[in-house]
Amino acid sequence: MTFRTWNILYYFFVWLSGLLGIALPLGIGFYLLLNGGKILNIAFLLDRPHGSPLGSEGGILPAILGSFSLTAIGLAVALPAGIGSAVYLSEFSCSARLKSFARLLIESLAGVPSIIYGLFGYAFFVLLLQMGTSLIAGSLVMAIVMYPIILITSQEAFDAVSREYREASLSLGIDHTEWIVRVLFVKSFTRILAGVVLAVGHAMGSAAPILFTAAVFYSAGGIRLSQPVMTLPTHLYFLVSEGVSFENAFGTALVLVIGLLVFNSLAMILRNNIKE
Amino acid sequence: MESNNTPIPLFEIRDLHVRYGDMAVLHGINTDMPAREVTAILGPSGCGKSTLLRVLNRTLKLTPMARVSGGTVKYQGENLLSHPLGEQQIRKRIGIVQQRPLPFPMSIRDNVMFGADYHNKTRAAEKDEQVHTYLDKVGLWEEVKDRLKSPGSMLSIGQQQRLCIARSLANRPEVLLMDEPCSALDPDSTAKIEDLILKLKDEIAIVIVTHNLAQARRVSSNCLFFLNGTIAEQGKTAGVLNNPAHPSVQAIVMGREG
Repeated sequence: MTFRTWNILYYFFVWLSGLLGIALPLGIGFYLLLNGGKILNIAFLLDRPHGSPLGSEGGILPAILGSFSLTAIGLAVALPAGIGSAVYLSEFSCSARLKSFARLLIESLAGVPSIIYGLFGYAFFVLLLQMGTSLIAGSLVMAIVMYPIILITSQEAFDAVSREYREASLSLGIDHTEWIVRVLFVKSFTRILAGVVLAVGHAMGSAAPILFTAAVFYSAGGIRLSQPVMTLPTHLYFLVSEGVSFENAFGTALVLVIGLLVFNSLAMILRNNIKE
Repeated sequence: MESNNTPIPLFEIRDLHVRYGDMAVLHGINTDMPAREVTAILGPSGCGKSTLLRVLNRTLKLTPMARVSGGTVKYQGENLLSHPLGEQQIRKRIGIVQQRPLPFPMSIRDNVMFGADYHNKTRAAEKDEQVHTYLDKVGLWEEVKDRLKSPGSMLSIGQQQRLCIARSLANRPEVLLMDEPCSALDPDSTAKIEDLILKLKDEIAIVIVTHNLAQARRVSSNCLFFLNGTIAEQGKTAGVLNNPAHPSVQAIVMGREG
């Protein structure tokens, strides 16, 4: 084949790939909207599941509240822990060996399949610590899912702030806290925020970590740390696997995706406001 | 000693050695830097000039692998490297202006007061006054007085460098070290900073690293000429630059090299 043919093939391939990148998310979005859109209304958002089999009618309010609380509590634990560990690794750890070893462990942690987190959470929090299947046990597993993602992105964010800033700040005779809080955090804020968005998206959408630790098929909607909760991904899973209602499953999926979209947009708005 | 007639030198450096890992960067620096004078440090790139400033400001350890491997430095008669005032106080008293201006991610006003606020908590009114004083000192007040709340990074590079100098001055240092402060700047901003140095030299001691022989002539009275991690020539600036004894320094000064 001539160079020209290759070139055309190459162009074709690149265009196709680019198109795929746009078509795939849009396609999935449209498909969800098409199938779940007709069921989506205020009642679906604000009612609890009804009907027989349960879930074939009514709404998903308890699942929305459950997913929201799991992620919020998980983030409240994972965010300070992740950023704190990143500060240690990038600011205080003197040994390059320890740093790269810790980094290896954390990257492995981020790569662990989420069902393993679920199993660990069940064995450790639910059984050993006797928390039972509960919001708190599930939130802690969520925190473990989010922790390595937040840590890795924060550490990369800190390392991206040039060493000269550190020198310029500390050469004024200020202490480490002042430098970290007033310069380092501010300079790396947008990158950390991107990491948080990634972590929340990952955690909120996965059913495996909470399947054994926090989720139940039905709850009336009360949110208590010691009680299990309904969640969007597990509700979706139950609706489909038990053949309860495909329509409601699509509605649930749509709510989950819209929820994540809203969260991402809020983060983006926050980022743009901070920049100015 | 109070009965001593000759004033104590600002810095007394004896046989100072600095290494980066296995690489010796400074080997055997000996000099006295006089107080109340501008000292220029000249020499080709990579011969240890910035390293010496980092030793004097006690920020050397922020550079990975760097350490003082021998010798002593005295600051106003006291051992600098284990000074009783501690590292943070020394860094406050011996300020440094880096080569590349790095405004912090905050307003112009907060940039000026960044270090000063940490060392002395001041009331708002007093703060405004200080911001005015130090921006005025570096000739930036008229240019920025209407946008003190906008971010420091909005300024031009020349203005940013003067902002960084204001930030160092607001810390009320006794000595100001400057590491090629004009190397990133246009001639106009360079002239402004040279004027500033000449104005400041009656208030505080200044040590400036520069590549620019003409600049050294204009602003300094004492001069150290570095070659490969040692001082090849030192003394009055005019003497060092007009008739150096060291052949390599001669070659550079006469324009045959460097």
